[in-house]
Amino acid sequence: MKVSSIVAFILAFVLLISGIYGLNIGPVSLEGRQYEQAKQIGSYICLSCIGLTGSTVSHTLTEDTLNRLKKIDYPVKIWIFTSNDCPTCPDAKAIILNFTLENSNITYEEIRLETQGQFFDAYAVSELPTLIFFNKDGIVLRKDNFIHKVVGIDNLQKKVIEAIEMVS
Amino acid sequence: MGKIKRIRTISQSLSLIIINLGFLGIFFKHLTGPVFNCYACPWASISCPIGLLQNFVMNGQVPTYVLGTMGAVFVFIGSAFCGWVCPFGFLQDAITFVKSLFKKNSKKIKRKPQIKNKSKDLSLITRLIVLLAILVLAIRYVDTIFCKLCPIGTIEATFPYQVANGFSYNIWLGARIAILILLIIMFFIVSRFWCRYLCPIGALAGPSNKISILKLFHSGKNCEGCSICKDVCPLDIEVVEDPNSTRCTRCGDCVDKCPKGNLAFGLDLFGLVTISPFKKKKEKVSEKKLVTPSSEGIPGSNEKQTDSNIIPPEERDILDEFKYREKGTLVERPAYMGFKRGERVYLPYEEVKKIGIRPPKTSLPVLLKQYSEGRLAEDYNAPEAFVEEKLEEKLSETPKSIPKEEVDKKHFEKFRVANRTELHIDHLKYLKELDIPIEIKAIANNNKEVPAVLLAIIDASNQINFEYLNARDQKAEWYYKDSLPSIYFNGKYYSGLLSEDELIYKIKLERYILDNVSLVIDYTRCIGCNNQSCKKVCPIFKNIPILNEGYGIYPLAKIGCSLCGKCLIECDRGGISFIFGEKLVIDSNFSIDMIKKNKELISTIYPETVMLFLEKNKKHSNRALNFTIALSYLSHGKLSYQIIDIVKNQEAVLKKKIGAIPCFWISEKVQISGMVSESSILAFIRKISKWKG
Repeated sequence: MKVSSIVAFILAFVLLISGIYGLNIGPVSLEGRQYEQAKQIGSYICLSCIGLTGSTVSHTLTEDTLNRLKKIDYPVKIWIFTSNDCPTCPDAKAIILNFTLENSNITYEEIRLETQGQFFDAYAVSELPTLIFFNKDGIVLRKDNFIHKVVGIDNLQKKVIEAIEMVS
Repeated sequence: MGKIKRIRTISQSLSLIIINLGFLGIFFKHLTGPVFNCYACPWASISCPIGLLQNFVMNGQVPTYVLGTMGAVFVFIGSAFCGWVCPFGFLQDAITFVKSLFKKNSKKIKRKPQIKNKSKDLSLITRLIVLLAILVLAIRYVDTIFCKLCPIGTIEATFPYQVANGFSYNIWLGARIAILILLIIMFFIVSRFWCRYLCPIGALAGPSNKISILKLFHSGKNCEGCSICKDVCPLDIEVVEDPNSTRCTRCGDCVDKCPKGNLAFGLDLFGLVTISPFKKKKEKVSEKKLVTPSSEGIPGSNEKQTDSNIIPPEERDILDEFKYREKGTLVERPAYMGFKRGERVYLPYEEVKKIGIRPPKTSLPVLLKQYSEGRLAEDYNAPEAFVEEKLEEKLSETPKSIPKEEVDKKHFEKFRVANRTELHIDHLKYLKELDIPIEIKAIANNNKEVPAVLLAIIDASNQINFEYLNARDQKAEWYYKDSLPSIYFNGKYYSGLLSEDELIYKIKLERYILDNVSLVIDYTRCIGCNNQSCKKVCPIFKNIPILNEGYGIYPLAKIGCSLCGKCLIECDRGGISFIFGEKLVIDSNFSIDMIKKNKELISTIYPETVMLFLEKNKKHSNRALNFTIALSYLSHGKLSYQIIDIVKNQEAVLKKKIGAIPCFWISEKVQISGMVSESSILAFIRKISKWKG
């Protein structure tokens, strides 16, 4: 028991220091120290992870969405906030991509937590995935004086098309 | 609530606030710790180690930071965070507290069965399986699968988001709410169910108890038979055997509740430096050790020895009493009291003085000679100047501070004098020689109902403690009052004839019981007894030393016990029993719980006398004796018993046609012989209730 306690003691501190000083061990080496990564992971809430939004969703647009989308004749820019470890962000991205393919007025930009963290703070985004919308002048869409955010992937198509219509 | 528990509750409450300081805008989410607190909670200020672990693994990293942080805590204090900080543990403690509110007798510690669980402790294995499954699922599906089902996430994150952002439903939500409900139900059934079987942090925290610097120490003193630590432990750990169990959450409830202070926290640095509150090493304790009762502190034992030194028992004679006027004398009954002239009675001298009867002029040897020849001297004069005391006046003078009972007693003492009668000289002799205290109680409507012969018996011996109870008195509630006057000998109702011979025979029977039955205390069961009900119900126990181990045998005659059986019923630990004979015969399976439960049925039976045919120093005989004592007490003394030793009274055995020993005999039709068990006794009780009723 003496030896095992000494070994455990040393191991614990080796792991702790290596985690703090960014000595990443493992098949994938990411930039940044692990405690900074921990802050990122902890700070932004993956909504699907707490059971608030479905894990899978159909990417193909419905007829109703397509019809409404055809009527959009003004430019709309969508920012989609994602992160590496967000499981539903790829789904949200795929749906928005379909929107842009159907109507060239609509463009999107992906804001990644790992590289563009400052935008998360600027627009007070703490849930993933989150979508915000800009008009042609680059003014963000607001609703009741708050930035209108579409959060999660539940009924995403419906929420996005409504927001796009509101941009007008 | 003990001191440690109170501090712990404060610690848990404060921790809950500190790790959820997000409502003040304070976040330190780069920090993590071995606590189960969802970081998706809008207020969570630190990160969840399990969530981080999954994310790092998903990204293909070795989670050195998380493991290092938790490990650094574990090597110092083991799993203390689980008991003192973790909010999910706090929730489980709160549920246990709520559960205790609903239960009756929540003040009493619930006794858990003493049966040792021979199956291996699988709790650590299940926790490890959960941890491994979490990691494997995270790697395989590149998703935080555990977080989707996590119960603390449901409480801390899902519900607040649902409230804030409107209700939405999906299959994961349904699943996680179902899991939470299931777990809460389990928390009501099994305390700390999550920590015990499922907690993935506990999978790492548990083993760390064995190597951490903070350790729980046991003093090494004998704790056999106590197991209060196990009873109060929310995780049912055998604390004495394994103080640093992998299940332990370091809550300290055992330290709090240990009545002997045999448990305490200390420090152990790699086994090299140990700061233990107890310095001695654990001693081996022999299992069965007979403790010979010391006469110290036992009432009467010292006096008896000194008496026997002065006057050897062979030389004592009833006639010796008459040499001392202080002790008593034979007096003639006053003729005006309604007795024949010349009728004599033995009276203590105090009484003689009180009632003012003149002692006979004839010298004692002459008087006795005349008595043995069958003729009495006729030269007694009428009592001189008998001044009747004005009792009523005296009673009215009694100061108010004297309790009513005492006034009643005095009143009784004064008025009973008129009903004296004379006893046979052999009986007088027997009563004078009586060296065992016997308790006699008479319950009557008034003092005149108390039989004169009984009073004469009482006066003839110093050893008889007599008490008169008025039937309407509150004190007399316990006693059987259907046919007054009721006479109780040592707590047993006497249903026979009120004749001199019968009463003396009854005293002889009682004496035989007290001479041959011994009280046995199993000291191992006394360890950790907080109630001390024995001391509350009987003053005798105040003089008996309570030891830490072994058995104490105390002959009833030596300790002045009247074998009422109250202690047997009141001791909730089964530490008190009685044996017939001198040898210690241990009966480990003896229990009177069923009899205790049916006390209402037992209290309804009609007065009955049982003949107990027993053999000395036999386990089953002792068991039958204990059952009978319990029944006798629970029936309010209505079931009186007499013991018959089958070795000495073979004639009686043949006459009553006893087949097997022990035998519980009322009549040829109503008896139990052979194995006397609790159920057979109860069946028997039902039978006599029907039979009579």
